Parts: sequence; C-alpha cells; structure tokens
Amino acid sequence: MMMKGAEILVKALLEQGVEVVFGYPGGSVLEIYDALYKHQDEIRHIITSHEQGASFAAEGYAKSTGKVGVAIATSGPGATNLVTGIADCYLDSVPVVFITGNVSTSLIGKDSFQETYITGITMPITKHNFVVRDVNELANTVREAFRIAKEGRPGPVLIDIPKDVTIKKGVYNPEKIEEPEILKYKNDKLISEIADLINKSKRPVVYCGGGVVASDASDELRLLVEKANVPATYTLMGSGLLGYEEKLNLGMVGMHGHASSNNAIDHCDLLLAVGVRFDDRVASNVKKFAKNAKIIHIDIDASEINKNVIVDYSLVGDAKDILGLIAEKVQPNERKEWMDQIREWQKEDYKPTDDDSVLKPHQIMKVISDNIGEDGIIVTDVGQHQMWAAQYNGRVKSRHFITSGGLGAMGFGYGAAIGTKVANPDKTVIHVTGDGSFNMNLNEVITAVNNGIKIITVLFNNKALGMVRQWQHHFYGDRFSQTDLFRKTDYLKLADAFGAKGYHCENLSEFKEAFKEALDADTSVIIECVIDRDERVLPLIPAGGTIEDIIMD
Amino acid sequence: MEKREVISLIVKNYYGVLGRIVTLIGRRGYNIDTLTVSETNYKEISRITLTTKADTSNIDHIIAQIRKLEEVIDVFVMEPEKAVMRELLLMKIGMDANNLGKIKDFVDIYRASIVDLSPTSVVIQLAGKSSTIDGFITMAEEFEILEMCRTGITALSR
Repeated sequence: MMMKGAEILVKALLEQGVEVVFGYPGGSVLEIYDALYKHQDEIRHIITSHEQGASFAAEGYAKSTGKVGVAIATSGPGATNLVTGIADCYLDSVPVVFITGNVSTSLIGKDSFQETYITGITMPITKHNFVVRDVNELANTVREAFRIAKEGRPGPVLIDIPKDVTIKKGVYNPEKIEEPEILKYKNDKLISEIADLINKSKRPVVYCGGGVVASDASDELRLLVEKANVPATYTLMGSGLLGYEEKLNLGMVGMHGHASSNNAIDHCDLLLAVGVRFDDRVASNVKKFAKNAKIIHIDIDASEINKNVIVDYSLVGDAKDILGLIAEKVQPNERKEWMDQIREWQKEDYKPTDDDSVLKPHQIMKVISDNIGEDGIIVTDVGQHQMWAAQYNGRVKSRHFITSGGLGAMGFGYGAAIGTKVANPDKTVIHVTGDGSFNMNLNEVITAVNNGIKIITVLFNNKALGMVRQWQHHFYGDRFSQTDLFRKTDYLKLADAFGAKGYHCENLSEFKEAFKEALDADTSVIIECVIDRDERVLPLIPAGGTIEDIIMD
Repeated sequence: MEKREVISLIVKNYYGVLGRIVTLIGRRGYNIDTLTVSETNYKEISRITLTTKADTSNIDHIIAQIRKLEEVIDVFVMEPEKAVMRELLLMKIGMDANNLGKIKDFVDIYRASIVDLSPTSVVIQLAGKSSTIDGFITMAEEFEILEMCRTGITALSR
C-alpha cells in the first residue's frame, strides 16, 4: 500500500497498540498532526502546555504501566524541550518513544529555521536514536524503536523525521507485533550455588530496586524473601515492591533511608542486590558499602556488573526469571539472631513527632495513604516532599509510587501525574509536590483541567527550596543562598484561574477535610499545605558518608 | 594498574556511528589515544580500532557499555601476542645538500622510504609496530623534524 509518510507513522503506532500520545504541534510536524486528525478516533492526542510536560506525561504513562509511552514534538525548540524528559527516562530506564519532526532533508545542516541536530543532542541520553531519511524505512524504524525501548533494560528511543519524509509516499505493509521474548537463565549450577549461599547465610539482606519493577517480579521477590526469611530493603525506585508494612520489608535504604536498613546492609554477610545499580545515593561510599558481605548482583544489563561496586557473584538476566529459580531452591530459615538484631536497630530509627496543630509532612502523607487505598498512585516532584513521600507513602504495589529517581528533575510531577492518570483512569492519582518544583511546570494544570484529567495536587509550601536549604543548614552554616523564596503566589486564585479547585490548609484537620472534598471533586484540585521551613528530611547520610555519619536530628 | 589497551569494534557502517561511540567513551570519562576507522571488505560494515589507557576493571566496563550500542556487531580487546598491530608514520625533515646522504642511510636502516622530496625537505614514510615508530622518532631527533603525524594503531587478530 502506498501512502504518505505521516500516515505510515500513525499506522505503525497503531500496529504497536498505541492508544494515546502526548505532544505539541508545529511546523515540521504539520503532516503528522494531519494524519493524527484523521485517526483521532483510534489515537487520543493530549496537548500539553509545554513539550517538557508531554515528555513527562509519556514517562508517567510508561512508569505506571510498563507499556511504551509516546511523545511528539516539532523540530528545534519543540525537540529541545523534550530533552529533560528524555534524560529522565534514560536514567530511570523507562520505555518511551519520542518522535520529533525536523526540517526537510534539503534544509538539514544549513541552520534552517527551527532546525536542531536533536539526534546529536540526545545521543548520550537515549538507548538509541534514528533519523529517517527514506519514507520506505519509516515503518521498520518505528518497529525497531519500540523493540529497543522495551527489550532488555528498557529506555527511551528517539525518531527524528524530516518534514519531506512525512509528505513523500512510501510502501506500508502491516505487520503483527510480537513481544520480545524473555531470555531464560541457563546457568543452573550458579542458581544452586546462590540458593546455597542464601541458605547458609546467617545475616542475609535483599537490596532491590527499579529493575525488579521493570521486570514485574514483585511476586517472585516476595516468594523468595518469605520462603527463606530474608529481610529486604529497597531503593527509591523500588517503592511498593513489597508491602509498606510487610514484616520482612525493612523500608528504604540510602541517603534518606532508615538507619536500620542501612545498618542491615552494613552488617550483613550476604547481600542479594536485584535490579539495582549501587548508585551514589545508596552506595555513598563504595569502598565501605556492605563491607562484611559477599555480594550477589542480579541485573539484566551486563554493563552494570562491577560498575560501581565490585561484586562476588553476578547473574545477568531477567529478575523475574532468576528470582523465581532461586526461590525454588531456598529453604526456610528462622535466623532469629539476625532478625532480633534488626528489630533492635529499628527501635533506634528516626521517628517524627506528631503535631496536629500544624502540618507535619509525615502526617500529611499518612492521611493521603489512608484515603486513597492500595490502588491509589502517588506521583512526586523532586525535593524534600519527594523524600517525605518516599518515606511515608504506604504503597503496597509496584508502579504506584512514580518519581524522578536518577535524574532528580524538579517539575517532573505534574506532567507525570497526567500521564499516570490517563493510563489509569480508574485510579486516584495524587501529585505530591513542593512550591519549588510546582512553580517549574504548574502550567500543566491547564492540560489536566481542559482534558478532564483529574489530578489532586498536595503542595507542601514552605516558601523555600527546602532540600537545598536543608543542605545549606547542615553543610553551609545556615547561609541560605537563593533558597528562602517567600513567593507571594496565591494558590487559591491560581487554582481558580486555571479552572481547578483550590484549598489552603494550616493544620491537620483542615487538611483532612480538604483532602476528603478533593477526592469527591469533579475537577483537578490544588491543596496548599503550609509547612514550616525548618522541617528537614531525616535521617540523612551525607554524600560520601556511611551509616556512621548519619544525621538523626 | 593502567596500561594501553587496543579495542577493536565491528560496527554497522551508518552515518553517525563513530560519533555515538566516541560520545559514549568520552561521557564515561575515558580518553581515546588513537583511533582508526575504515570500511571492511563488506561495504555495510566498518572496523574501528582505538587505543585507550585503562585498568582491567575499567576496560571491562568500557567494553560492556560499547556492546550495548545498537550498531555495534562485536567489540573485543586485542591481545598483543594474538594480533598484528601496525601504524603509519609520515615525517618531514629539513634537508640541505650536506645531509641528504645521512638521511638516506637513516631511512634505509629502518626500511622506511622517502615519499616526497623538495629542495629543502624530505617526507619519510614508515609503517610498523608502534615501538619501532617510537624508536625511529627518537633517533630522528638528530635531524630537523619539521612536521610529523602518525595514524594510530590498526590491528587484526592473527
């Protein structure tokens, strides 16, 4: 069948089962938008206020479902505005296909109007990228892009399409898409050896993260830890893999993790690291990380093995497959001494004090968690609120805590919440943010309101850039350079102006009431919570430090 | 301990592939000392030979990262005893009527050749192992070296 490139593109997206795309039109993608217009009954297009919002929306869609997200932007500024979202997907291994228009091939390289070399710009932050120079290669390029995005360790892929390629006619033959096969782990001997190590270990700990989420291996993980009675810690990206209050779940590890979780890793004799990358927010001091332990690393990406911390055993493969195989061979083991020791450490953990007369972050999170049930999804921005949300989110399922981990991109939250809600229309989506992050991309409230996408924003307003301010408190002698903002924004009026509903709360009962009303509201809501600017995220292990350097108050 | 490693890459001959590899290595914090690229006997496949200084764990890391690139068909470290490694040197030396004979003798000892002659200079070509070329350059210092360049290593396993 002969058809225009733009039509081939849309057909190829439909082939992949794409139901929704996020984007923003422009000169170089006029043909693509014309094809989307024709197919509007088959593909929903959501226009954001800014391409960065579209990039985060596609990411939220992918993070909350595991499906491939799609974002479209025009050439030049449209494409460059996607860059932060692409980098975020790269650092958190999220499958998103980004489609950019470009100037016609005859104009490429001539600094034409709205021309950027976006494949060059995104080379280090994509799993792969393509320039389509021949319309007859377009369909296969889209297929390749989706395959690469989801195969193995997922990641972002960019397809740059010059305008003339969208206009020219080419051949399109439909193809049936097959899901990439999961490679079965073959080394039975090593599996037995690992199971044996776990069985013999007196003080084992699991350290799991985003890779376990990506491989949808929550059940296999639980089977293993419960059968062998191995306590488990998780990274920020592993939130919800085990139930928040499950007995063997020690909670988050790392810079703002529990002292007890960090102590468990420090004292364990066997560390089972699954789908994690020993990043500096967890393994702050690589020389002293799990210094008493034999380390086993399970990861699908061979280049992660021995990258930051040298390990004793490595198994490269799919976490779901490998955890399942190990779980079969482990044996029950009480490990009373070890569990008792951990319980002792837990007694010493940092515990925030309640105060109903003001708004305490952990109490706000508890109200949210208690009211949204186990299917509610919490999406955060980046900063103090993000860490409070991570510490007290109460989530019991994976893909129900959506955050910008590796890149730590302020402004991520609102767009991501939109994508999450679009992908999960029946679930409550809560956007937890701070005033710093919210101010970066609050224009996306417009997108939510105008598309009937209901987001409840809980805005932790301390009128400061709290996380940086906290570091200035601990490490820069309270010299609060550019972090005491005292912005005068009236968030009630702001919500009103955008067509959302606004609340302002100063104590817990006000918040409880506002939150209940928000859940019943038929539009997006912004609940401003006044937070003391001296509230800090605790505990804190300073960069490069160990559990011995932990700051508890 | 750091030593020089020769890495050989078999890659798809696409536009931008060299940029992708160089960007990756640079981004991971390694310096490329030498680099050669050419088409192979299959037009759609290119071979890249590069050298970098790294210790063993770093070299494994570089190789694992390179292997992930879509366009890389194969990548491996060349072991000196199992490979032929050569590079080419071009050197321009200042000449006058008095030292032409001396230059010719020197060139003959190394089995190099004079590939260009002008009234005031000669251009010498030498292909060989890097160590031979290093030696040649040291010995050539008795002459007036005007300009020189070397290609960097290209290599094939035996």
